[in-house]
Amino acid sequence: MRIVTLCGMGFGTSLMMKMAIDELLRKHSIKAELQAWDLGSAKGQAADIIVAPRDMEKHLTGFNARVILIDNLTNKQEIENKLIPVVKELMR
Amino acid sequence: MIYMDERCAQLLCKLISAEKPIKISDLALMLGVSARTIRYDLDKIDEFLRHNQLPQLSRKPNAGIKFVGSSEQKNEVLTLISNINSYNYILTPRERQNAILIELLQAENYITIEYLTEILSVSRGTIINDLRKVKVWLTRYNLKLKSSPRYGIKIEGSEKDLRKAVVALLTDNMEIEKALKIIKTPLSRQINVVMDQQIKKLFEDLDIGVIEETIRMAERQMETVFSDGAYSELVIHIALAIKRIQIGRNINIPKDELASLKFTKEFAVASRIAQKLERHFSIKIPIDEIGYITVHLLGGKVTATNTWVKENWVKLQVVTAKIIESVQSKMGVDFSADNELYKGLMEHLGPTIYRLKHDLPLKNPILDEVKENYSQIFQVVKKSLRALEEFVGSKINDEEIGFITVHFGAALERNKAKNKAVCRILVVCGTGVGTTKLLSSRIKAEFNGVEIVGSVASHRVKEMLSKNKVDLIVSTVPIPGDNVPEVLVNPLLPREDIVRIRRLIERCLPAKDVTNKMNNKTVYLEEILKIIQKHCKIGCRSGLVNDLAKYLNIPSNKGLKGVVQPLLKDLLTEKTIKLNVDAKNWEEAVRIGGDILVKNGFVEPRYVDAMVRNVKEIGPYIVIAPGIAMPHARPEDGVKQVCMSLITLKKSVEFGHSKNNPVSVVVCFGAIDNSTHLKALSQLVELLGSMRIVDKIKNVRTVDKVLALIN
Repeated sequence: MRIVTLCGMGFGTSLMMKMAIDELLRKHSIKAELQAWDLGSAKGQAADIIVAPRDMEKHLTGFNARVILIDNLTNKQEIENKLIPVVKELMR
Repeated sequence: MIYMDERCAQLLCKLISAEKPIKISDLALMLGVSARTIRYDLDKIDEFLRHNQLPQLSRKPNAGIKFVGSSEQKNEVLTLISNINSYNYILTPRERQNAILIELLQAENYITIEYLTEILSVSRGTIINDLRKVKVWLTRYNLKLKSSPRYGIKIEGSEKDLRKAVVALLTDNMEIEKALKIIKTPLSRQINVVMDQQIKKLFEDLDIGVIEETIRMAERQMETVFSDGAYSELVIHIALAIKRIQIGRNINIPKDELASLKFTKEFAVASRIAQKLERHFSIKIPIDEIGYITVHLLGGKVTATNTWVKENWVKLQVVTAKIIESVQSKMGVDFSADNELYKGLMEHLGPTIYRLKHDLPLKNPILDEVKENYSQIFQVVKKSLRALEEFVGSKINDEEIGFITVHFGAALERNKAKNKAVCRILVVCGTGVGTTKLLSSRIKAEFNGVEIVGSVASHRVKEMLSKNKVDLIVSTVPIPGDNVPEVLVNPLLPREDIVRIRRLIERCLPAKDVTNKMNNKTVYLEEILKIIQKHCKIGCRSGLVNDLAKYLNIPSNKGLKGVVQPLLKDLLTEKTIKLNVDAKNWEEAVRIGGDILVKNGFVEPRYVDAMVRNVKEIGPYIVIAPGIAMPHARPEDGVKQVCMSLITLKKSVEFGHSKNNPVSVVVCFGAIDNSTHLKALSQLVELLGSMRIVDKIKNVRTVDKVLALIN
């Protein structure tokens, strides 16, 4: 499984989300490939799940992946509630 | 039900077998995970212990973690851990698939899906899903998964392929020496619980000691010593053969191949091994199996003792280098960067020299093929072996030349593949006339390994993409609606655009190549540090790292443990925090935050423009949480060092975010790569994750109070 966190430039927001998700995956003992990408270089890349800030939604067309949008990036609970059920569903 | 995963079990084993308390940081190091993860795991272990009415772990601040129970209790824990089977252990999908493979590979006949759901305690759907992956894995070894409605599933394919698959399954998961060790250890002392149990099951009730004895006998008869890897492999192959013979599955070797094997010295040795095994295991070993053992004795590359190679290391290096040099000057191909060739050839030459010196001719089963397919290389190699001939004092026979030729043949293939790996770039601009031509020639001049597929106007992009394979679009105008990575550049291609393109090119070249190089180098520096640390006391570690990195020309800050990543308190100081700032709108707020970084000399003024442009182009997603914005741009937009600033606004401003408006805290930062600032960033997230702290930051009047919150 490949999870990609996405933001405009790949140095801030996507890394923040990546760190949070890294922790979550460990907590739930889930093994998955996790990468942080910026919008330009993510085009045409394959991913199972894309996690991005809510306000990037309009840039996220053309991806063949489950898209998860996060409102508050400092809220780990929100990320956990939105992401983990999807991961578990896809792993089944 | 108490769940323990593999790492927890491993951790608990370590704690129990340790005599003294172990620090969390050391545990983290041992298991290669973070201290935080270890703390999570320790909580899980405590829960597990509590559940089994055993004492909790003792955690002492300066001493570390210790299991305080009596030795009976220790034994009890060990039994508990070794009894962890799939009922109370959560298997990862991969472990589950391995377990299914092992069941299938050793089954005498069909097994049913019901049986698998029972032993793995997962649903039928999960098993069916796993079987899809298992099927794919099996095809790699020419094996098929046959399912028939009434009976269940079984593996179909030749016996040889099946045995290859079993050994591959073992070595996919660990080194062969380790696999052998596990097979030999009694169960209760094992650490990696589930996988080990599965492996052990493959060789249940088999006296490995007897097999090892026969191998040692073979060594004496052949007057040689096998390398550890070859030794382990032989033991496992023979153990597997016996298991298979016991259930009536024999191997077949083509008649002509068998005929040629019969004349080798190894065949005689293999026959004697077979005799011994027949007596001990009361089985009949067919002649084809003896041939198979012979193949493995030959494949084990009758090595000289490891000591010989070790003692002659330097000479071996010289001979290897001379041969490579001679071949490359004759062929006009540069092999100097091909480490695989150098290492592989050197490893090969050790035993070769031993054989030649001791006049132990080795049959080359593929000599004819080599001569046919690599005739030119064969001739070149033949003329390039003077260094070797001088060293052993005799002419080299064709059989040995054939082996060496194979190494160079493979190197040439690698060379070809490397040259082929180019990044195909499509250059686009509004009109497709002058600008793209200029851009194309700049790109060609700046980068290696690129091919310009074409230079066109933006409306022709779709047409070009449908006809050509394109890895990357470099464009001066935005291009909507395609699936190819793109980078938007200034037509004059300033430095920061070059950096941006380079990053993307690296991504589309075979990832392996790039990362491998990186990893090798990082490990390299770490290894050097370890060696130095072993013998000397290091005065200034960071200074040493920097000087070494400079001398060896490698980046010192990439992935090297021990190089300091700045903490949040290093970046947010009284110089970079401003409270109660007046800002009319979001842009002004971003500029005020950015100017702090400029005034401190951390970024160039153009970085501030880049931050503003980023919000305008990609949107207000940098508003990461209610009331908090985190503007930033890319390293190549003018960052001189990792930095961060924090301002609070007297009156909050709108960024246009759908949910998190309005904003009253703005944190600007600059990164130099995608790792150095991570520690500070994660601390920032922790800090801003607490609403209480955010409220305090918004309301305090003095910078000191903010600093106190950060610390």
